[in-house]
Amino acid sequence: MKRKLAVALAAVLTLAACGSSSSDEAAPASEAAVTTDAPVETDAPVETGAPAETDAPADTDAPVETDPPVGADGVLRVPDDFGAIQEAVDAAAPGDLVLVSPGTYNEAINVVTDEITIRGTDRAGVVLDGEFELDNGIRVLGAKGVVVENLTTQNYTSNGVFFTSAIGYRASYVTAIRNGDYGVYAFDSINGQIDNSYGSGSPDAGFYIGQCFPCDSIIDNVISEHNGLGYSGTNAGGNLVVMNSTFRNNRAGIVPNSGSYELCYPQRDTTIVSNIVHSNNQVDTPAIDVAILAMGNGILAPGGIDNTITKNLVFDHDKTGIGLVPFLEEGANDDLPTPDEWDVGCAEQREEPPADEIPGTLLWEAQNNRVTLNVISDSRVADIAVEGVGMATDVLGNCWGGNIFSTSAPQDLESLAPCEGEGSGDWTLGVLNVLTWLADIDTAPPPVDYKEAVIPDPPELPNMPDAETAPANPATNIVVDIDLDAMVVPAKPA
Amino acid sequence: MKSSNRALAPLLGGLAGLLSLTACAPDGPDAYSASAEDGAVTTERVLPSTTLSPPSPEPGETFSPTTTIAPAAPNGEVLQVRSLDNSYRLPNVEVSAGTEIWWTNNGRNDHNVLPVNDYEAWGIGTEDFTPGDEYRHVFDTPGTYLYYCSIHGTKTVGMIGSVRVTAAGA
Repeated sequence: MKRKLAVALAAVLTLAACGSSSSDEAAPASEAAVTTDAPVETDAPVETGAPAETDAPADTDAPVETDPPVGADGVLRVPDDFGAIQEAVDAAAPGDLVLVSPGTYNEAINVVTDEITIRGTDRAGVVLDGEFELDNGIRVLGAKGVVVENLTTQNYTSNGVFFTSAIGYRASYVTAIRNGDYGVYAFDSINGQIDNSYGSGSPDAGFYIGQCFPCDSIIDNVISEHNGLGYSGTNAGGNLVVMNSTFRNNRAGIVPNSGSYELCYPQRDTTIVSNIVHSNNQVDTPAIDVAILAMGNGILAPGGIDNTITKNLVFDHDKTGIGLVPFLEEGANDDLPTPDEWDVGCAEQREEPPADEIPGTLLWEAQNNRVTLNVISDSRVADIAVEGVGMATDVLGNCWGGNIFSTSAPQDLESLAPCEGEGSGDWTLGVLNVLTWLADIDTAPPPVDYKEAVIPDPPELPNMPDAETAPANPATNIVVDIDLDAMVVPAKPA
Repeated sequence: MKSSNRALAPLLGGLAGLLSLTACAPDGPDAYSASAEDGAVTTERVLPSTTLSPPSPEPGETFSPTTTIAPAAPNGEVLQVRSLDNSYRLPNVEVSAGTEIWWTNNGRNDHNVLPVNDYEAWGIGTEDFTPGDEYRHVFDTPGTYLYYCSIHGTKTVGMIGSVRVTAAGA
């Protein structure tokens, strides 16, 4: 019976493969599309853009002084030199700074040039607005070392800032509000940093780093609120750190997970440290289905492996403060990787064909995670919790130690599976039994359209220091080297 | 964690619905590739070759539009390419002329399959390639056909792929 219940729970957590998009496009065709001779519609980004004209020299024999060419100092100003941000970006060379003055820019910027910096002179005053028509505020496609800083992106149908296939990236002092998928989205990208940023009002996650291993990336000092998920990190890990940040009033807080719908599975080796995670029970946010199903959890690792969750302050959650649960994936695209394949990097995995025989569903267990030195309180189901489905809970290899908490599922979890020494006790007492979550689904508040959700005004958010004068600093030098011993549990906010 | 609101409806239907979330994945064999011997799926869904697209030149090759290449008849072979989030798997495949490529959107995002060369009359747009959708095309002329997803890449980077088609019987 327990197994059946557990499977049902896993189904609750299932992220079925047949998803809809948050885009505004027409409903999908129910039948297979077929080739026709009609021209294929393309919506490729425009990749051209001429630099602004420079002043022509006077037509005399005498040498005359001329204005320096636009951008000669490595700074391309918008709107002084270029009428649109995209024009400046297209004209920029590696190392250049695109410096944007306050105003509202209804643009969707594509960046394909390495090592350029796009910076607003005023974080709240430089606003990229998609007007619920444009897809991404800034999309960085394969360009290395690009930096986005000190500006606001809002009302885009997909993402506020989107890095994909980037080696080296940074988003700093970015405010991303009410975007249709993610606030800041780093996919298939490594050596990155997201810091001092704010994400609110997205149905998926305010911040996302996914499909990378090793990621060698960091999220530091961000605030994520009123999203479906505060943080999502599908199949991400390997020197990946989420720290010193606040995840509050989302449906669910920090949710890394495994799944074969993206490459680089499983999710593993992420360090979640010194964050404030609280009150992630918000009922009136936009939300993908997983956000609804995971609602009421502070830090939840569905199918996560080898993660370190330490020194976080976690409180006020309807379900668990820190939960390690399975993830059942319908419509799988490969079989489960065996433990000896967990260290396979993305580059290697992407060249491998999937298994010849692919199960209809995959059950990703949360294994080998360490939960230590957190302070967890006021969880209505359990402050710390774990459950296995295909595997017995007691053989998953997760451990707990040094946490300050009141309740656990199973009972006395730190004695059952301590990180130091041998465990003892009865794993059958006070099991999590997430089947009870099923009952909540029928009454779960439905997602709110991200265009219409009522979200709070951002708090006071600092500007980047010396935004007008600081030189460009391309993201070619991101190093993630955290001293966990020096990290502390944050103080509870007033 | 991209997921689907569409999946929520059966969930809300109760436990039975929770345990039966299989309806939305594309039908057909789970294996990476399938051949006509696999049965009805292939036999029923192989489409007649209706286009003769000029092949993309190989690096270092030139393409003459006046070249006459006899299209190969559909050979009953089918190769599946899964559109994940946000990659094609496998991104680069090689088949003989007359083989059908079967793209399935197995991700949770919208995608599309667009030829890099705009004059090639194949591919599928975003509106018809949402999660669970599929698209088939028989490549009947040798060449290398490059494609990409314009949402998650450009013609040269990000979500890109290629189909190298060799002469039938080669």
